[in-house]
Amino acid sequence: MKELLEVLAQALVDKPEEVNVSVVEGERSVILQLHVAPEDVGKVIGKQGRIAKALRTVVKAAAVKEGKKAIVEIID
Amino acid sequence: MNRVIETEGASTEEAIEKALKDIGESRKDVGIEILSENEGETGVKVKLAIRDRRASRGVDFLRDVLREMKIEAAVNPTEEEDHTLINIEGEGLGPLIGRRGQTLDALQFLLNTVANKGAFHRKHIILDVEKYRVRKKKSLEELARKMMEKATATGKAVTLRPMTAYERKIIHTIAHDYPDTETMSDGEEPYRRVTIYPKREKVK
Repeated sequence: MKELLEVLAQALVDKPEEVNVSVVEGERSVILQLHVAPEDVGKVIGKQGRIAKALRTVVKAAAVKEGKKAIVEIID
Repeated sequence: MNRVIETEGASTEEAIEKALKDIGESRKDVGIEILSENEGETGVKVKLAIRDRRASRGVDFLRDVLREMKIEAAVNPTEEEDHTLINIEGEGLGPLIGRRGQTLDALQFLLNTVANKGAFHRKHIILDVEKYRVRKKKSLEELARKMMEKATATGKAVTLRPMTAYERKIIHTIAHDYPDTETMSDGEEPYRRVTIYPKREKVK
């Protein structure tokens, strides 16, 4: 899931080398904290949060496959 | 996503410019390979292979995403009139579609954002999984017809469930076959819904 979020975020931003995902593992849920370059924050949030919402939907779908609940946090 | 074009110009460069103009593309969005050049009396005849960078960027992105989702599937792009259609085929692709196609819609949105990043002209990409969208369109059309008939028969307006813009368009299109009804969308996204009005009732 970490790698999935990295791939998604790297494709969206201008500075892929600054994409970093840290994972806080819980029993049934995983918190994925997405860090990007300050000027790229808008690129992973999008107009009215549309990109952030789509990112969450896709990551959640992958998490369900692994029987987990994923929470994506965008750190700015 | 790839096409071969034959063109002519005073020079190779001019021939390429002309070809791009004819297909309405910018040099920024396509890769060009010269397959052959023949100099004649009137100019140069050039055969070009033109590759759509946006579509290939999209396909690469999808392959990366599928790999990370541990899904083995084939990614097949085809060029349609005004968009690129990418169909994903394989087994166990349910999670890729999600409830009412939510995951598929999210992935399509990300795919379009990534593919058109920095593009001069945007190119719309429609993503499908195992022809899910085709099947869904059929069932939506059936639903629309049934509800149009209901509205006409009962003389009462029928409101459908909230739908995406694409789904609503399918309903509005079917309405053209039913001159006794009118359709209108109401509400804010993502709860916008279509109501079918029998024409008589609406007038009063």
